[in-house]
Amino acid sequence: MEYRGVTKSFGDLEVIKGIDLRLHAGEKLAFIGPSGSGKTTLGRMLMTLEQPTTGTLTIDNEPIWQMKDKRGNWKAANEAHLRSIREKVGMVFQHFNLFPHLTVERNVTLALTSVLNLSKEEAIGRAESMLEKVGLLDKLRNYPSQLSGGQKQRVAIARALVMRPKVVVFDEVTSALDPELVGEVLAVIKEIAKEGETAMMLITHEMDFAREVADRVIFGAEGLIVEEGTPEDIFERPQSERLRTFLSRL
Amino acid sequence: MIQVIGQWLPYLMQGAWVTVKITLLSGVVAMLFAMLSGLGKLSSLTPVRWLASGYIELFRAASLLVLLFWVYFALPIAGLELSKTWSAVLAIGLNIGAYGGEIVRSAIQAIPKGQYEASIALNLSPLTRMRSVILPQAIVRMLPPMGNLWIEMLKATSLVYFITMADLTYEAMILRNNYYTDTPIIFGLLLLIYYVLASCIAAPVKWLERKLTAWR
Amino acid sequence: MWSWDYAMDVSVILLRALPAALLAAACGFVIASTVGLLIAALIRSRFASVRRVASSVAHFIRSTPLLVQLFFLYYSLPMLVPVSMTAFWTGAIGLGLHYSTYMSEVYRSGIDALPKGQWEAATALNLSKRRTWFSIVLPQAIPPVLPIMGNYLIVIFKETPTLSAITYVELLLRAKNEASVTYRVFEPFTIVGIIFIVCSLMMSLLVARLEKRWGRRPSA
Repeated sequence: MEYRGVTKSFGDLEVIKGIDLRLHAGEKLAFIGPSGSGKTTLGRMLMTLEQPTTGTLTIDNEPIWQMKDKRGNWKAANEAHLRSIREKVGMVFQHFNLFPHLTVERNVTLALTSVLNLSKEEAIGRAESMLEKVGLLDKLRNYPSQLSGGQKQRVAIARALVMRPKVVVFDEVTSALDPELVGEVLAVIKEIAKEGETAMMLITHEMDFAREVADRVIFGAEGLIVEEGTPEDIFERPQSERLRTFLSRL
Repeated sequence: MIQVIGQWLPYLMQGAWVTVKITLLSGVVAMLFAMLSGLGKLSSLTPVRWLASGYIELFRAASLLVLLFWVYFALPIAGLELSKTWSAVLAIGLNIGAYGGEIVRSAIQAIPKGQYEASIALNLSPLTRMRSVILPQAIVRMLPPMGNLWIEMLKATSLVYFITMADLTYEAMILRNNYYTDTPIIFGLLLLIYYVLASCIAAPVKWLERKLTAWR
Repeated sequence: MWSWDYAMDVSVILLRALPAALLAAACGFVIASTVGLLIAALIRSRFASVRRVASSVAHFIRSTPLLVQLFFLYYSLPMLVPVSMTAFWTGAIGLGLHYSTYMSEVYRSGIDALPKGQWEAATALNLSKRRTWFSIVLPQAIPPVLPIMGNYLIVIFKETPTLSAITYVELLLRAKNEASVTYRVFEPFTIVGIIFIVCSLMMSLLVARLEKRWGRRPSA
């Protein structure tokens, strides 16, 4: 996955001012930085929820927002192309965005049956083993409104991972949680990270977590990448003044 | 007195049946047009959007009784002759459907953006997104205002009296001719029957609302 | 089937009936606004019995057709009490009573939108009930709902043809009378339809401008 010269503006406001970035298969990348630094927008672009203003985003060397027509000329991506891209990407949202009218089980199996066309039995089997991993096998029949915030987020993680995407965007997944519920969600993510197959883009405010899970940490501010390196580089030997200030304020 | 009312009842029941029939038939037309225009107004295709908002604006601006007169008396001159029933069903259905279109549109727009984003992130097709995620939640939001709209529709059917359809109101007016001194009782009874019919709409809507919101 | 000459002639005749329709709508609207406010206040009464009676009566009026209510007022009220009203006043009062029940909901939404602190502050200042309503609550609750009230004026206007049932000569009855003389129905009814559509659209444009001026709009 690669960002090349990506910028994004909302009206007159330029939130991403030129990002070049690569993410390798299975890599865990943590994105830290002050709010308003455009971290979330980067993740949403990968999920095809936002279109970059300029620059290109590619997955497996395939541009997300462009496709070749029959004659081999580039043109804007259509829904079918975007859907083939979305097979490779998953996302966990800050506010969970579970489907409130569906049970936990149906939340997790909906895309399995309607997108991957799995049989009901197969889908339920996959959903159950995924929910077991996040420790919520006993909540299959419950509705989201009957769960705590931490449980909701764990369901959302199961829902994204059950599709077996190549990369999952975790967009500030603990920011909307009560402090005492943060731990259970982070533990689940760490567990999944250890298995290693899925690449992760962790947009987060939890520094200890970033340090423990990430292979590489990126510090961004005001729409630019300020510094990047291993967790040790970033947290032990910050180079820039901005990063030092940012870390000291935590 | 009781005996006299007993004599009236068969006529009133006959009228009530016509009223119920017109309400149900208009309801089908109205719900169909409400869905089409409500979804159409949110379409990404500009002509569809224009057509839907054109329909909604035009029929909300029209006066129902005038529309009914126009369909029943004027349209045959232009070569389209409809029976009384179909004139009534078409006029009421199209008029109420325009109000319903606004209900459908606003219920769908009230679904949080996160629900769309989550269904995109799960790679659901646009059709599945609508059918499995958005509509089931939107319908719950539509129910209370749609229930009220059905009551408006029931009340609107009384206007078919003007094109001499033998509905509840018309039957009562005929009774009044025969039992002139009992006019207040006849009209009182008529109001009561409409009230009971309206309650018959409100009750199942309440029940359905409870049933569909088990997840809340 | 369409004669422009006749259409022109009949337009003039029909437009002369427009003031009668507008007048009935305006009177109905004033009555609806006043009685609606009364109902809204009664529904917030301290006494449970008053609240119950007010909301049941409002619910009953709302659940029954205007046409039948007009018949009741016009044909049977004079048999019950020694008053007899003209078709115009029966129509205006019928429209007013019917829509007062809708208007009370509009007021309620405006009053409910008021922060609880406003009532508490009024209590803290030891204001009388009347003072609280007229100096604190209504001046804040009404402006935001004015556009919704304006929409009901349009609704009431569109209901005026129903008054033809009690012989009030407004646009529709005028058209009907014309048609019965000339045996031409297409032009009169089409023109009445157009007059209503044009007037309603113009009124909603006005309401939209009002809404912009008053800004905020709580849901009805």
